[in-house]
Amino acid sequence: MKKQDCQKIRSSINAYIDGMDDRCNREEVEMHLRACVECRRMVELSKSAGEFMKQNVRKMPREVHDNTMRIVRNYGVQVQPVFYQSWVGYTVAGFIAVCLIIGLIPQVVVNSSGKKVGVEILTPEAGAVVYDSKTDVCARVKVKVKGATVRVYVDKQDVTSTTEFVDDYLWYRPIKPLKDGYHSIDIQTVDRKGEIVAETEFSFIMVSK
Amino acid sequence: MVVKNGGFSEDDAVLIAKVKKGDTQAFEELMLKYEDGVYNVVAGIVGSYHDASDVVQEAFFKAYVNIRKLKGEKKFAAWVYTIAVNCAKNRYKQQKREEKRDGGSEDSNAGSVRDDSMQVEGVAENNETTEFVAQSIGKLSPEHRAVLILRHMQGMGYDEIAKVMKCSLGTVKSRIARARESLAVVIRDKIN
Repeated sequence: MKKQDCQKIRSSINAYIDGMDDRCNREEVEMHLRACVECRRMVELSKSAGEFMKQNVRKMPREVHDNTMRIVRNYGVQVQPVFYQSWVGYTVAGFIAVCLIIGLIPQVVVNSSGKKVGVEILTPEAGAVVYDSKTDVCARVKVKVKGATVRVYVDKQDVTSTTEFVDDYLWYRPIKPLKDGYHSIDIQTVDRKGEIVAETEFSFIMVSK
Repeated sequence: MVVKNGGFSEDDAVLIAKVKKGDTQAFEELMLKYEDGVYNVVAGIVGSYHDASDVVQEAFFKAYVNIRKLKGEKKFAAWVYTIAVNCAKNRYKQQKREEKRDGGSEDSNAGSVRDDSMQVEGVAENNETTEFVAQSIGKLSPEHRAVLILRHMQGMGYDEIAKVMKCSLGTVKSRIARARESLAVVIRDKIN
């Protein structure tokens, strides 16, 4: 059997293995397989690999499920308040957006100290207008340094002790409702020597209902 | 539970509507439905069940955070697989970068999996053939493993795989063909 013949028929062989071929195609492939040992071997191997995969679907460990649900529940419900949909909400949001654009309010402060951004902020978004005065701060720590710890500051106050850490994620929910206005979050990764190895700073605007 | 297709499910639409209203219980039900499938696909790409746990966690959390953006509720399965595949690809790239940076394992076989790989963990006890096939699958590149797992473990059609992997139907076909050929070569080499 010529190698060119095998190459020509390979795509048809795959459809044949997956049972996605038509009758005409099937006859052609079967004829080729009768004559070609190499292709016949490939079909057998592919089928056994497929069978192996089917039989070895592994169940996800329960703790992974539980951890994920814990993260989800901690993140909580993010339902947009009716306020946002009213004309007052749009006006306030529009005004703040204009302020952000023309630079009256600092929009996002990243790497102010020239450090690597070590955290991916999941909520609230940098520069966002937030309507829930007890909004969660949720982030994922990306930079991992052996022996390093993560510190969380809200409006320059250390809130690390009231921040919850689960795997790579961290949550902070304000104990007291946040006041209206500009708030800053600073998340630092500090090594054993106490030096900041990564830092992410951002701000958001609080507008209560 | 094995997801037989990445397509329509009436239940999904109801559950997603509940999740959008803030029902985390409904999200848990959705997760239970797809977590095993997603877990196996992710393990196939990152090459280790241990790393897959973190990635799956990240993928489902991202799905929850972004569920409002999901327009067609009928497409939840394909959507969640897409998120998981993207997360897994990123993790794989990150691993490769770290390996390069550490200057450690000079990996001549770019696609091969690491020591704590899925093929070793996933092997059925005392079954040489199974172990042999499993190790051979582990030697494929992540893209090739992913298409084979989506095809065989999840029973997805070529068009569904194309959506999940964000590539054309032709690419899926050629990847499946190449994956099978690579598998055949690996197995043949071992026999010889």
